[in-house]
Amino acid sequence: MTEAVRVLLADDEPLVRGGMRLILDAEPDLEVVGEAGDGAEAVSLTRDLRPGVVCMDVRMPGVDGIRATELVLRLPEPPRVLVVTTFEHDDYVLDALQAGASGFLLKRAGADEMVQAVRTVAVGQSLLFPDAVRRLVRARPRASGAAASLTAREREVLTLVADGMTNAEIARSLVVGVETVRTHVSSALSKLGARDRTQAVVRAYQAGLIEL
Amino acid sequence: MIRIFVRRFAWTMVGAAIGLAAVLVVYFGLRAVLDATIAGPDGAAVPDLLVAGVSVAAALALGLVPGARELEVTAARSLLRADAELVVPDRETWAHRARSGGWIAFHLLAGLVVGFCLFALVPAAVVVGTEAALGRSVGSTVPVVEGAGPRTAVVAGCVIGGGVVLTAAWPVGALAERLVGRFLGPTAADRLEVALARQQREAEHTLLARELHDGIGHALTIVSVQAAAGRRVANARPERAAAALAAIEEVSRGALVELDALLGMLRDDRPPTPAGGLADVVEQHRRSGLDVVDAVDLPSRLPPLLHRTVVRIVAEGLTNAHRHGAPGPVRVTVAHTDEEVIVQVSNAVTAGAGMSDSRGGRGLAGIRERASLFGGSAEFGVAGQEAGAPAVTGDDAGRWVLDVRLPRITAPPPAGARATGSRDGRSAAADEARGPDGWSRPSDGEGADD
Repeated sequence: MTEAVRVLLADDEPLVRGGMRLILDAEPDLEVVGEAGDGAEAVSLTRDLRPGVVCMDVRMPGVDGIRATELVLRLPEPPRVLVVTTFEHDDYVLDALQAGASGFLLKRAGADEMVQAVRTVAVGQSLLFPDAVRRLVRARPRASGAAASLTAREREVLTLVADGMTNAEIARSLVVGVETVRTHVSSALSKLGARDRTQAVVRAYQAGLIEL
Repeated sequence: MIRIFVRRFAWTMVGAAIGLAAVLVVYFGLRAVLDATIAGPDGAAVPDLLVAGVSVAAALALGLVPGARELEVTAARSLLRADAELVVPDRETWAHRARSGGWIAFHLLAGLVVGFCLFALVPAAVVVGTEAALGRSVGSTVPVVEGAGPRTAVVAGCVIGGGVVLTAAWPVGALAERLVGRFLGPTAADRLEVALARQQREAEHTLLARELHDGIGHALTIVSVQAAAGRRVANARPERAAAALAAIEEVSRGALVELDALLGMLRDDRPPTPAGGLADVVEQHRRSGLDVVDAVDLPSRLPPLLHRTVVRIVAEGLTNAHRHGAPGPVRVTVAHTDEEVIVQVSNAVTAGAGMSDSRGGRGLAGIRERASLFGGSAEFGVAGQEAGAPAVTGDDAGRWVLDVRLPRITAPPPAGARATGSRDGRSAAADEARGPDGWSRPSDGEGADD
């Protein structure tokens, strides 16, 4: 990695921000460029500082994390959003994923996991915490979205994406070229109108296109 | 079929036995009284109507005997197969006693009717029928009819009539099964009390969950993040690790205090109600340095639940003013109309400063929740300036105002009056039934609803 990933932390609790900053700044490839105390500040700081990843607390006063996620993703060259939450069974997390967040992280996760999550989201190569995403979607009744028509192969690829595999891993598993996998993934993403793998998987789960 | 008949028969016979006993006691009692007062030793007969009237009164009075309702409920459950839900209330109100009495009177009357059918009408039918069949008297005072046609008709009539009265327990029991729910079932007030209690419990669980989430959950989150951070930099930047430890120490200590309070609340199994009344709450805040100007006009007979809610709202309003308000007097106004109780707490604010706490204002959310529990409303904010804030009243412009309106739960109707059946009238009854200060409903006003 040539350049450090620029990270913005948005959380209304300074002590949580401070702790996360300490952990992330200790990594040579990550750099915390700013801290926001609420959603509105997160949006304006994202505009000014152009971070690669925004760690966004879901529950914040004023503009909450979901709304802020929507807003920062509308900016030109939007960052990736990593939703940070206290509780795993938080309805807001799924809302945030549907709003386009690339993954979510529990605040109680250890330092290693936190660092790994930021890196994974920054690169966007694979789905963060596939089991947790599945649990979240399962907890909510299926939304009867307009089902896009995926080909059998796209569905197969998406199922492996949902298991958290990278393109290279999927290629090995299906014994095809990485380029082919990439084509299937991007085709599935555009059919589902999804911004990234996470959103595609959430939508595919909810539309019943892949098995929960 | 036979089993049902036997059960109904047994139920009527229980009534007959108690009824007969009651009538005999009344009869001999009255006779003793009459003999002693008016007529002397061989005095006049006791008037039947008097016996009947006093017997009914005695049956009704049995409803007052502790345990009588329980006995009747047990009898009805085991002998009558009624679908209705029957209750033995923890706290009997006059509505319950009146219904119990009515049911007992009905039970005894039903028993006496069936008993009369069985022990007077059935033998009479047998004797008269036999005489008509034989064509001669076997000792009854009824004249024997002449001629084959009339004799056959009388025999047939006696057989059919005797059969009907022999099975009188069947329709009487069926009627009892149909009616028992109205007498021994829960009253509208009972149902409302249960519903209200459940609703309040749920609201309190929600509050508790929120307290746990906001308080303990928040603290533990900080502790876990800071601990992870401290461990991460322990070697490279020990001074930062020490700072993390200090933060952990402070936050966890605060969380323990909060946990202590929450557990205390759970142990008591009641919500955090300020001790004492409204005056105590205001006094407490004055002692802690808040300049409280109060104008309190509370109705004297407010249902306890509503009263407690008013006290809690004032307490939370004052706490909020204390924490977030600008210096200056805090005004507490409690007023009431026939329809509602109005609670207002207002204080000055520093321009631009928010009044709700940073974690979403759980005190204010709690107030709103409590108000909605009563079908009331809560508005707060800088008067006339913020969306959802109360309109300006008096000189409240620019002040932060909490304005809560709780529908007035009407006082119980005076003795003898009947409840109108309005929702508020019923809630009043329910509130009273649960009230710790033991006022009871003075009259049975519930019958109108059934």
